[in-house]
Amino acid sequence: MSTPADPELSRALTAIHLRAGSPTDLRLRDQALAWLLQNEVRAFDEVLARALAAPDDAVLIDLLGRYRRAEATPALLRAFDSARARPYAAIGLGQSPDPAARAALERLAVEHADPAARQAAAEQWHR
Amino acid sequence: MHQRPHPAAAARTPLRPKPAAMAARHPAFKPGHAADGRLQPRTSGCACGGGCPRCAPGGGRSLAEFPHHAAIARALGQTRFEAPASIDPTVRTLGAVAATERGQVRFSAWPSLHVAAHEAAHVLQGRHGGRLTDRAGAERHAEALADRVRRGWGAADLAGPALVSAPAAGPLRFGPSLLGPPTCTVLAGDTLWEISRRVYGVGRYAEAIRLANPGKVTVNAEGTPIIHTGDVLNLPEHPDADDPWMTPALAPLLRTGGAWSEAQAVAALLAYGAMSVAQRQAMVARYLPFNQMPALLAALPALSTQAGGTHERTARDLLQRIQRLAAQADAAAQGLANEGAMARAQATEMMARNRAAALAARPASAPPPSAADIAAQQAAQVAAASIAPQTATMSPAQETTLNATLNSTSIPAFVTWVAANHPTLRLTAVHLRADARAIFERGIGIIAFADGARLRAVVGETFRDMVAANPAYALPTVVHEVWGHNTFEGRGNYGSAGAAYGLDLYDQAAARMPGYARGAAGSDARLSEIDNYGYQETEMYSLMREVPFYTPNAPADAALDSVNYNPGPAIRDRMQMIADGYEARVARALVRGLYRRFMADPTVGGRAMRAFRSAVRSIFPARDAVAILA
Repeated sequence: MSTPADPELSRALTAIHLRAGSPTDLRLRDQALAWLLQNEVRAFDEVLARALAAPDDAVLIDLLGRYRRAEATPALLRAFDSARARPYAAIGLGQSPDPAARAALERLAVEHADPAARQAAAEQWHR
Repeated sequence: MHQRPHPAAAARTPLRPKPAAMAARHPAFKPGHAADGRLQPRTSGCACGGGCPRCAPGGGRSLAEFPHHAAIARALGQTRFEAPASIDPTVRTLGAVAATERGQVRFSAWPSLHVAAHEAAHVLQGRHGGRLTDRAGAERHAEALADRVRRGWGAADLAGPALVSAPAAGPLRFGPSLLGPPTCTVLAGDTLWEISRRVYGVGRYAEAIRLANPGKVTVNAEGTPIIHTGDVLNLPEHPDADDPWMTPALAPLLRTGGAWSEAQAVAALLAYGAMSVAQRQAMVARYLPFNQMPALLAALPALSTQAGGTHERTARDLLQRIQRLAAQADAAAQGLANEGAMARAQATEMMARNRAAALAARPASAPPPSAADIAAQQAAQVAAASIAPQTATMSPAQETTLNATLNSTSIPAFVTWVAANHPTLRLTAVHLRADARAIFERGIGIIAFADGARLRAVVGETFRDMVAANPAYALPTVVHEVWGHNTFEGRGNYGSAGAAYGLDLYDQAAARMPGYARGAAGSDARLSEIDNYGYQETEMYSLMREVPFYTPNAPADAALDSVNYNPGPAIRDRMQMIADGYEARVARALVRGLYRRFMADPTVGGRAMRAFRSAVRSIFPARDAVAILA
C-alpha cells in the first residue's frame, strides 16, 4: 500500500483491514469506516487509487461501492474478476447511480464465462 | 570526640526530665523497683550476687561506668562511651526517671538500654556546642538515637551530621525527620560497606542500602556502587525481612547480571509471587534501575509466561509493575511528579480539547459553550460508530461446506505445519474451532477471533484460503488471538482496572473533569472509552507477537495482500493513537513504560522490538525518542 500525505486517512484505511475479529477490533473498524464515509472528500480519490491497484482487496472494494459514485465503476468492474472481491464489487455496481454500472451488470449476468460470476451479477441486477 | 560544653549549654536547666508516663514504656522503671525512695538490693535472680549497679543499695550513688556503655559506644562507632552518671531516686521528684544536667546524667534506677541511650544523646547534644533553642528537636534526636541503639543498629550518623551547630554561640540544630524512615548522610570517603557497618553494625547490608536508593546509588562499569558525599540515603528498616531476593544466590544476579539458571529464575519468581502487593511493588521499584529482571524472566521455561503458562499470572504482575514504574519515572523526569500529576495533566489536556471542540461546534455569534457543552464533548470524542451491515450473504449450504473443509482439511494441515515449523508453540487442534458463519458475520477478511475466554481461535473462510496458499500466512493472526490479548491483560480482563495503564490514567483524569460521569459497565459509552484508551497497549503487544511469524506473500499469492500484511505499520498506528490521545508528557511516559515492559517480556522478540523502536522514532521528536528508548 502507498502512504498518502494524510496520516489520519492512512490510519483509517489500515484500521478497516482487519485480520483479527475481536469485538473491539470490530468496533474500531466501524469507527474507521464511518470516518472514511463521512470524510468522502478527503478519502475518495485515495480509496479509488488503491482499489484500482489492488482489485483483490475486498475491503477496499466494499468501501468504494459504499460511496455510490460513478467514478468507481471502472474499479468495481475490474474487481468483479477477483473471486475474493466479486461479491462486494457486484454490490457496489448494483447500488451505483451510474447507468453504465447497471448496464455492465446486465452484460456480466449474461456473458461472463464463470457461472458463479454470472449468478452474482444477476442477483445484484435484480435488486 | 569530647568537646567542652558551651557555657550557655552548661548553664541550662535539665534537658530532659523524663516524665513518669515515659517510664511506663520501660519495664525496668516499674513502680516498686524503688518503692521506698531508695534502691533496694535485688540479688534474687541476678548473676552478680549483689555487686552490680542494679543490685547495689544506695541513692545518688555515682556509677563507675555509664549504663550500657559498651552497646552505646558500639552504636556510635566509638571504642568507649563515657559520661558522669549516677543512680539517684530523687529524680522521681521531678516526675522523671532520668535527667541530664551539665553533661551529668542521673537515673532514678538502673535504666534500660533505651533510656540510657536517650540520655546519652542529651550528653552528646551538650558536648556538641551551640545554644539549645529547639527542645522538640532535641527530644526527637534523642529518641531516634535511642531507638537505633535498642535495635542494635549503628547511630554514628546521629552523633554527627544530625547535630548541626553554628560556630560557638550559634543555635543547635537537628536533622529533620529523625523519627521518619531511617536515613543516612554520606560522608566524605564513605563506602556502602562502611555505612552499613556504621548503621547496622555489619557491612553485609551494603547491598540492601544500594537497592533502597536506586536513584542515588549508581553502578560503574566494573559493578562498583558509586555514592556522593552529602547525599541522604534511605536505610531499609528491616533489610532482610521484606525482600526474598536479598540472598547471595539472587541479589548479585539482579544487581550486576550474570547467567540465571532456570531453577534460580523459577525460585525468584515464586518468591516474588508469594509477597504482598506492597512488597512486590517495593521489590520492583528497588530492582528496576539495575535492569536485570528481563534476564530473570528470560531464564524461565520457554513460553511459561504467556497465557496458559505456569508463570502467566506472576510474570504479568511483574511486567505490569515494570511498565507502570518506568512510566512514572519518565513522567517524573518531565516534571510530573507522580501518577496524580499525570492524571491532572491528562485532564487539563482533555478539557482543553473538549472546549475547542465545543467552540467549533457552535456558530460564531453564539455565546461561549457552557460547562455541560464542554462535558458533552468528552462523550462525543469516544462515541462509537454504527455502520450498516454488508449485504453479502452466506447460505446454509455454503456454511456447511466451509465448516466441513475447515475441520477435515484446513485445521489439520495447519496444526501439522505449525508442529513441524514452530514446535515450541505447542499448538494443537484444541486451539482452533471452525465457525464459518460467525467469521462471515464479523466482516470481510477476518481470519480469526478469540473464542471468549478460552485459549482458542475461531476460524472461517479466509483462514481456509490462507492455509491452502501457505499455512504460514495464517499463523500470525492465530498467535495474536490465542496468545496476544490473553497474555497481555489475562483472559477476560479486557477493560478491567489494572489491565491497561493508559485506561487507568484516563479514568483518573476523567474523574477530575467537571460534569464527567462514567458510563455503566457494559454500556456503549463505557465500551467506547475502553476501546479508545484501553485497547492500544494490548493490541500493540498482540501485533508484536505476530512479528516473528510474519511471512510475506509469494508473488503468486498477491490476492491475499489485503489480509496478509506486515504488522509493523499497525504497531506504529497504535502508538500514534497513544501519542494523539494523551497529553504529550503522559503519552511519552506511557510509551516509555511499554518499552521497558516489552524489553523485559520474554515473549517479545528482537524483530518486534525493532518495529517498536522504529515506530517510536517516527512518531516522537528525537529527544523524546531517545528518552523512551534509553
